[in-house]
Order: sequence, then structure tokens, then C-alpha cells
Amino acid sequence: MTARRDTPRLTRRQLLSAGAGGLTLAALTREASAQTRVTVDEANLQPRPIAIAPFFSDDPKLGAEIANIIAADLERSGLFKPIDPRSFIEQIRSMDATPRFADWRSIGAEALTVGRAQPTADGRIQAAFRLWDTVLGKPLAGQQFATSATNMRRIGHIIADQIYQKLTLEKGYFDTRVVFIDETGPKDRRVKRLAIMDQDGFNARRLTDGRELVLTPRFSPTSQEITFMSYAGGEPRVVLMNLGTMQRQIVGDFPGMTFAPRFSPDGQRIVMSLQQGGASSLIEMDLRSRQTRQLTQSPAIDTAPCYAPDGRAIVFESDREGTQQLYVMSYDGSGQRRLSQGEGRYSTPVWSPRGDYIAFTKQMGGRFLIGVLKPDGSGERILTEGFHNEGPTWAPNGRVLMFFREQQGGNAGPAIYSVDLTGHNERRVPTPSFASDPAWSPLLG
Amino acid sequence: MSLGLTLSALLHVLLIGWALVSFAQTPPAKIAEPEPVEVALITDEDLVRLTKGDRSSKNLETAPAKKPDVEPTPKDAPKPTPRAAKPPAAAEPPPPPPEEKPPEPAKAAEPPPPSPAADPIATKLAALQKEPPPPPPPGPAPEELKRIEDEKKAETERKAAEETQKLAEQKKAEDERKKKELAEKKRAEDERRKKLAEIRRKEEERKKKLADAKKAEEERKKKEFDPGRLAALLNKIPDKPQPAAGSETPTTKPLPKGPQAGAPEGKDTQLSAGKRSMIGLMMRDAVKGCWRVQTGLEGANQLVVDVEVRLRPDGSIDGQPRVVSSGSGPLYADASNRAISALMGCAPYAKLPKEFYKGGWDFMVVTFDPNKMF
Repeated sequence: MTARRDTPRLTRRQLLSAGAGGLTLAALTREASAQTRVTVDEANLQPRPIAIAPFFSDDPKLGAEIANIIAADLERSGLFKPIDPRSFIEQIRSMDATPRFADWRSIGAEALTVGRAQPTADGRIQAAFRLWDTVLGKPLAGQQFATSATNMRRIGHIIADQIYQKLTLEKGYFDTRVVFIDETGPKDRRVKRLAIMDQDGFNARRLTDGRELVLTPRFSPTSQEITFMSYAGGEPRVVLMNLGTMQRQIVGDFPGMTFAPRFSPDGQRIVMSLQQGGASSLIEMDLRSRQTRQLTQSPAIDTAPCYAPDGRAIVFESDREGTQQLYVMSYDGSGQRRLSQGEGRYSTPVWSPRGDYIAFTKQMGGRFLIGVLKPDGSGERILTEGFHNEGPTWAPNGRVLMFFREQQGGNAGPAIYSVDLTGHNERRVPTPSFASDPAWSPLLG
Repeated sequence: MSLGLTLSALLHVLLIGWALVSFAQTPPAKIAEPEPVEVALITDEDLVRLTKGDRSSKNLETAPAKKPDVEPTPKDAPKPTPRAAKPPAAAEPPPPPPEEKPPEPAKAAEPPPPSPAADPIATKLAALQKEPPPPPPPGPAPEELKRIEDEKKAETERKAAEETQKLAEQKKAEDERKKKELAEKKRAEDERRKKLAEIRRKEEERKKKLADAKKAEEERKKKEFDPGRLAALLNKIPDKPQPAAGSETPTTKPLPKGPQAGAPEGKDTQLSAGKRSMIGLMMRDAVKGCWRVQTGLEGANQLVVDVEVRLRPDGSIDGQPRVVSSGSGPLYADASNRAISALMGCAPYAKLPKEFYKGGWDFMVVTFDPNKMF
């Protein structure tokens, strides 16, 4: 009976302490115990809807044109989807007003660009823009600048670059040019001229008159000069041309040259391949002293050299082991080792300006592929396949490539295409005529 | 007896616990700052500089200034000998005749000036006006010269005396002012102390009130059970089991020990794992359409972000989603912004089942993990 009397007392005490403890614990941990956990592991990879309002301007055509350039650039990147201005709800009255974000969200815009472009009396254009995040309701970027009216399209490209950079965290590539070989005429009597255009295909113009055979143009790191091979006089020679003055300079006569040179990242040297006998070796020349240095020496064909963006390595193509493969070596020619491991023939390697990939042309089983691999030889990935795909070149942000492809058919000719590093968003680049051998400039600004 | 005591004790604990938790969150009482009093401190030098005056300044008094050496003597003769009001002034001057002593001491002995700074100026002005004439010429022309000399000497001596007199007065005024300041300060200090004491007292009172209220509450609760128990005792009816809380009769199940979900309200808000998982999937499908990831940059496809979000019953977001995972650097900041944007962009989440709101989708932690996609 005593045991019985004791038990209720203990139970009550236990109860109290448990209740007190439980109460405190529950009060403090009430939140944690009631949380539902959600995992989102899939994202929306569709292009992001963005609204670009026509720019304010005394010249409405100018304002509309600049907005169109921006919209076209962003759309072409494959990452954005400009919204048709006709579906805008809020009519922006002033560049400085805060937008009604709900109006923009309701048409699906995740970002909004507004701007102003005013022609001035002295033949310049004053431009400004603002980028808004319509979901978070805050400004993201803004800038103003002025430039001559002849650079009107560059205003659009510069602004598009800023928007692109703010929204993707990657540098833009719209304010750039592409030098290429413009080809006209029937297949058996093609006239090839050196040409240059904006990366969107506008402002294309020819740089040579077609009487000389020109091949493989390349940009210098400063983007003001190009180098190319010319067969004027029957012998190949390396030519340096200043794009501002259009002045030409013969770098040298190199009998037996097989491939156009590329500049080193500091613009001081060029590397090229020279054919001697049945073999071809890589030679480096200092542009100031005109001194040359032999980098490789083998009975094989070593060609198509390209510097790494830090100038400390060179990737090239060689058939020293029987088939065309990719090799890498130090800038002084030491440490030559093979990179590519797969089947097929690898050629025209180009090192990304970001340094993280090397793009190449690959031939396998009659198919032509453009691919990338890492500088250690791993991670090979094919981006696109097509007839006579060849000659990739990188945009300055290392995110997009151009290459050329021979179109099939009787009177068809080559055309230039662009593709994203992920292998998506392949697009034809508009050119005045057939085009081949593109080379992408650094950012102009 | 046991039932009542148990109940009482439990409710005590509940109340105290609730009070502890909620009162801990009250903001501290605001102590009103006493009004600051502007006090400008002036040093002796400043005062001298202020009151020095300017020789070229205009005489403000309307009565014409009389030159001392043309003022007739008889005017001053009947002037009474100035009282020796200031010992230092009397001791200082070299042998000037008594009637040449300036009437300033007399002036100074008048009722205390309204403000210390103005007085020396007024005094000086008065002195300029009432400067006593020199003694009458003793004799013929050569003595005239001597007279003028004497006058001049007397003049300078007089001026010196004036100056010292003035300085003495300034010092006196200064002392008075300082005394006043101190008194002011002390007064302000006292006031502030009083105010603090007042606030402290009020705080004590409030605490006391709270304690009283608590006690009253307890008393009331105690009393609540008394009638029933009393009646039961009187009527010799055994205690009926209370429906609100568990009892100790063997037939009812014992009270659970340990933490209880939502214990303060005593409601059951636990959802089964299956239901939570369903909510998770629905939320995932609703959010993924708004989630934009970085596809280009290295490392971006590994950044996992956890975001806390509260929803209202209509599916709209309550407040701001909050990132609860840790990370740093611009890529992480960008990933965090994208996660928050995803939640905000796809709100309101109207399709979530209403019956699972409380304890279900009212409060969630959403993890954004891009690893599977790359």
C-alpha cells in the first residue's frame, strides 16, 4: 500500500518536470519540428523572358533601332527571349521612374531594360540605359556614355554586353567583329576576298580586291590588326594589316608555309608552321626583332599551332604517331605530349580565351564534327556535326564558337555558323555571300 | 485532491513558461533623454576680448562727450570722495588725488547688473562720460605746461586704474556666471537623476504589477477548482474526469512525456511523412519553372542553396524568403538571388492543398540543388 501511495507522487513530479521541460523545448523548437523540406533539382533552361523598351529619343527610329540591336543580340545568345513590345502593359514615360514591377511580371518579364539615345549637334549620340530585376524589384545596372554617330550599332552591342554580364555573370561578346574569307562565284572559280563584319553580320565590308588568294585571317590581341596568308606573286607570305589605316606590311616571305600564323597573347610574337621537304615544323617569330626560333622538329607534319591565353603553352596538330592528333607543349617547344585520345582525325585546335577548353575539328567515319576538350586531354565533348564542319574560333568570353560548314548541293558554298559551348543554339551567321574561315576579335571596347 | 493539484501545477507551469518565453521578447523600456541645455563656456581671455571694445567705435550714449581738459573743475569739486569699495583698486594707483579716483566703484556698488557681459561696457561708457577734469592750473603759463603734463599723467594713471577696476569687475562677473553655470549643471544633474529614479520606480511598479497579476491569475485558477471540489466533497461525488486534460484515473491514457508539437495550443499539427513528401513534390513542380541556373561557369553547377519560406493560406509569400545555407563569393550570391527569385517568381502557390497548410506548406525549407542537371 505504501508503494501505491508513493507512485502517484512520483508520477506527478515526473509529470511536472516533463511538462515544464516539454513546454520549454516545444516553445523553442516549435519551428523546427513543423518545417516541410522541399528539394528543387530541376531548373528552367528555357531562355529568360526580358523586356527591352524602345529607347527614348528625339529620333524615334534611333530609339527603336538601338532597342532592336539589344534584343537581337540577347535573343541570338539563346539565353534570353525578348518580349514583344506590343504586349507591354506599363508605358514607361521616363528613364528615371521606377517601373511598376507587377505590370512587367504579369507579362512574364524577369528583367526590364529602359534607355535613352539622343543625337547631339556635333554628330554624336548620348546614350544611357537602366536594367531592372522585375522579380526582386530592384535596379541591376545602369550606365551612360557618348560616341560618334557612326558607332551607333556599337551602342546597342555595348549595352547588350552589360545586360548579358549582369544576368549571366559571364562577360559579353556582342561588341566584337569577325574577320573571314568572303567567297563568290562558281565552285570551280571561287573568288576569295578578305572581309570583316560585326558579330551579328552587319557592317560587312571587303578588305582585299580578290586578285590575290588570301587564306586564314587571324586577329591580333589588340583587335586593330589582322594577319593572313596571301599568295600574291605565287608564293605564300604572311601579311599584317592595320584595320584602322588599312596599311599592309609583309611579315616575311616564307616559302613552303602551310598555315597562317597566330599571334601570341602579348601580340609580340607569331607562331606558324613551315613546310620543309615532306615535313612541317612549328616556327616562332618575334615581330620586333624578326628573329625566328624552331619549336618542333620531326619528320611528321606539325601544323595549326595556337597559344594558350596566358602564352605559356601551345596546342598544335601533328601526325607523328600515324594519325592527326592534338598535342600540347610549352611555349619554348619543350614538354611535347599528346592530348587527344579518341578515334578519328583531330585538326585546327584553338584554345579558349578562358583557358578552360580547346576546340577542334574532328573527322570520324566520314562525319565532320566540332568538339571541345580540356587542356589536360579529358572531357572531350562534341558540339555539332555537319558536312565539312571546320575551323572553330572562340568568342572572347569563351562561351560561344563560330565555325564554317560546306553546304551540300551543286552550287552551294560554305557558310559560317555559331554554336554555344553547351552544343545548343546553333545558328547561321548572315554574310553577304559564301563565307569561310572566320576569326573572332577580342572585345572592341 | 490529487487531480486538482496536478491540474493546478500543470497550468502554473504552462503560464510561467509562456510568460518566460514571451516576456523575454519585450523590447527594453525607453529611457527618455533629458533635454540638453546649451552651455557655452567662455574663458577669461575670451571675455576680455569680447568686452575690450573698439577705440574707433561710436559712442552710443546720446549726451555729448566732454573732453576732460575743458571740463570746469567746480563740477567735480563737490563730488564726494569715492567710497573705498574695491580694496585692490584703492591700493593700486600711484598717488592720484582722491577726487581723481574714478566714480566707477560707486557705479559698481549699485544693484547687480542684469548680465555680466554688458556691464563692463556700460561701465566703461559711463566712465568715458564722467571722467573727472584735471585739477585747476596752479598758476601762470609755465605751470600751465606742467599742468597739462600732470593732467596727462593723471589721465594715464586714471585709465590704468579704470582698467584694473574693469578687470576686477569682469572677474567678479565671471565668477558669478561660473557659479550660475555650476548651479545649472547641478540642477540638470539632479533632474536627470530624479528622472532615472522615476523610471526605475516605474519599472519596479510594472514588475510588481506583473507579479501581482500572475499571483491573481494563480489565485483565480486555484479558486476555479474550489467550488467543484467543495461541492464534490460535500456531495460525496467522486471527481469526474475533466475533458480538457488527462486525468489520473486508470481508464484514461497517461499524458505524453517529452516535447509535443505545437504544445502551447495543444493542437496536433503533425503531418505524416507521406503527406509532406507530396507537398514537397507539388512545391518542386511549382517552383522549378521559375528557377534559372548558371549554365556556363565552372563550379556554378555545384552550388546548393537552402531557402526558408513562409506562405500564407492563399499561397502568397509571407515576408521575404531567407537563405539559410552558408556560402560566400559572387557565384554563391548569384545562386542565392536566383533561388529567392525562383520562389518569388512563381508565387502565389494557389494549387497547394488547403487542408495541409498548417504544419505542411505554411513553413518550408526549399533546397535548390543543380547537381543532377549537369
